[in-house]
Amino acid sequence: MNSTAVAENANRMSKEELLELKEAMNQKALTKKRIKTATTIAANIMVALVVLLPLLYAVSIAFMPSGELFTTDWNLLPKSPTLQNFKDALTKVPLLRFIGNSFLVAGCITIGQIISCSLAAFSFSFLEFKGKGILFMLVMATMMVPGEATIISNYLTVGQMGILDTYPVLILPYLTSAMGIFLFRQFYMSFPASLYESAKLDGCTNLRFIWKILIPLTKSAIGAMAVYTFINAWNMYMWPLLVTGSDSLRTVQIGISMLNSVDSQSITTMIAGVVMVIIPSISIFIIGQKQLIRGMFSGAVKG
Amino acid sequence: MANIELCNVCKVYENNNCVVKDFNLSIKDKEFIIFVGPSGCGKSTTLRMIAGLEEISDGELWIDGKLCNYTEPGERGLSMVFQNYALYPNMNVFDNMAFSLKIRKIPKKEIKEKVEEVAKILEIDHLLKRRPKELSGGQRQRVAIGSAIVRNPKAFLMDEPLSNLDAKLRGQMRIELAKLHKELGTTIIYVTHDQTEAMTLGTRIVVMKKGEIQQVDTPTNLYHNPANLFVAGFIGSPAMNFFTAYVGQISGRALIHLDNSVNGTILTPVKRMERELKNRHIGRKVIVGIRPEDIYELEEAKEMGFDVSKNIVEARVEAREMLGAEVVLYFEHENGGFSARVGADNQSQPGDMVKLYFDAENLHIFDKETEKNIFFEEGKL
Repeated sequence: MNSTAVAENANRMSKEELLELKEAMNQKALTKKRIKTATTIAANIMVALVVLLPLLYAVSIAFMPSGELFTTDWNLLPKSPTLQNFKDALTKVPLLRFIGNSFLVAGCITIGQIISCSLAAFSFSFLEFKGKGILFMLVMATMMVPGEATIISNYLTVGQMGILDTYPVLILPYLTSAMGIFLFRQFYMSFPASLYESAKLDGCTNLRFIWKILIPLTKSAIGAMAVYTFINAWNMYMWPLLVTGSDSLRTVQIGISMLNSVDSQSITTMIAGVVMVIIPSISIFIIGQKQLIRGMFSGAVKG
Repeated sequence: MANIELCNVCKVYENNNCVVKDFNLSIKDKEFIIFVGPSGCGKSTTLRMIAGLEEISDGELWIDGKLCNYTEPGERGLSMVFQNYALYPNMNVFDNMAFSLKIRKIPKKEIKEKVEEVAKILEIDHLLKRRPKELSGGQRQRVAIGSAIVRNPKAFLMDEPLSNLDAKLRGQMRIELAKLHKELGTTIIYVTHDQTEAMTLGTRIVVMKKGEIQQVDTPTNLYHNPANLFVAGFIGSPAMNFFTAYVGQISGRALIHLDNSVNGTILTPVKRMERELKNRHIGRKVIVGIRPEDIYELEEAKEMGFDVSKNIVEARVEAREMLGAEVVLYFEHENGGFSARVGADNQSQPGDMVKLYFDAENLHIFDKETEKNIFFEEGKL
């Protein structure tokens, strides 16, 4: 019925008229679409500028000679950009060594957490044992205890172990995390149980199942976990400050504060240090952002 | 390749929830056994206990004379095909099929030969390089079956393997499974809730209800000689018609009076049934069952030479379903609704009063209390 009516309309018009009508409609739709896109982009740029202003300003300050900073003039951009601040930051404190330390510590923590959390999550989601629910609740409950509350007892423990002021003391306490276990478990819960059962019938051991099937299929969760853990470990401040004494073991976050105390007036040098220090974490985030978002939200809804 | 025996097998969950009770079954080599029953009847649980995916709470499982209650699933020598195929998404078809052989450290050359041979049988040899997500449902199911075959298992366990496929493909795969069973000559234990699959594939069918076996028999026997009311109602589509009735005696003959029947519908049982009814059931309540194809329109019955002087029931047509080769008529009756399967040329329309002939030779009579078939003969036919 409907299609006949449409056909009648089409028959009434000449070919040229129909073409014209189509063109006009198309133009209208196109304009509407363009306006919509332009508005969205403009709004996004505005919001991004507001959000990124402190960061962009910090980058700008890093290139300013220190004299230019404290003026009453409008100084969003450096008038005579210089790399001197970066040179100063690198010479005043062993910043490269700190960056190396941070890389080592954050890398070890990331790898350690991925291994320990994925194994724990595997047992919480695939294995059946008594007290599984309670044990999992207990692990989750540790997320409610703030780090500051345990820092003293942790310090006493590592003190007794005699590992203060060493690399292991920076890494060991962070080799697992309840958040990581939770993240992996949620991911594994969306895994069809029949895959595990099928593997068992094939004669596959648990470790082989994890290595051959689970890990290849949970790359996005691992990616998300890696980015999240690395950034957290990179930004650690309190614990490294407490358990390390020698400069050779300090991490970047403490290094930055050292820049501040060595020459308290030179904010530009410190900001230059900060800019150098945030480059690794920002680049890790840019590389892994797709994985992070996919990993964080996968399993949240059935798909 | 394997004899499987289940002796008094039970499955009890933590809160004393017993899902399989005293399951006794002996499965002979090369049998195609079907577990069928409504959902929640314990058929899948039983299969999973055989596979080793569920612990056996009580009883014994013997595979080829070896007690296997505590044997790891991978060591039982069984293969399972799952409803959702359970293919490893990160591997291509070849690797999926070869996975279990690689675990067993079989030489690469042998694996390649074996996989290619099985792929050829299942006509998936052109798909070996593809990933599971690039396959259609039917192809995935073939790969799943292929993965099971390459292991050369003692028996195949299949848990509703066709239920994710569309009707047409299901029909095709059914035929192929039957062919495969013949070619491979292996024991297959197959779980389904689809009675067509059960009837067409099985050499023997195990009908289950609430964790208990109701009857184990060949498809023909289940259909013609059901052990109880449940089996009679479960097997057959449209389902068997049931009427509550009582057995009376008039001039020395045992007769079945249908309940609530204002016009006093009486069915006359055939001679072989009459003696038993007369001896033990006079004055007792029974349930009479008759399959839709054993009910004829009066004219049709006359043409077929039935004695239409008795067993006539009059009823109003409620609905009519034209199925192409036949028509199913649904009737209202004082004793409840019932259906009849008649020829495609039948002209009865909803609202018509129709006289029907019930073929007494094919009546099934069940005890009202125990729901058991009074005339059940074990191993009949």
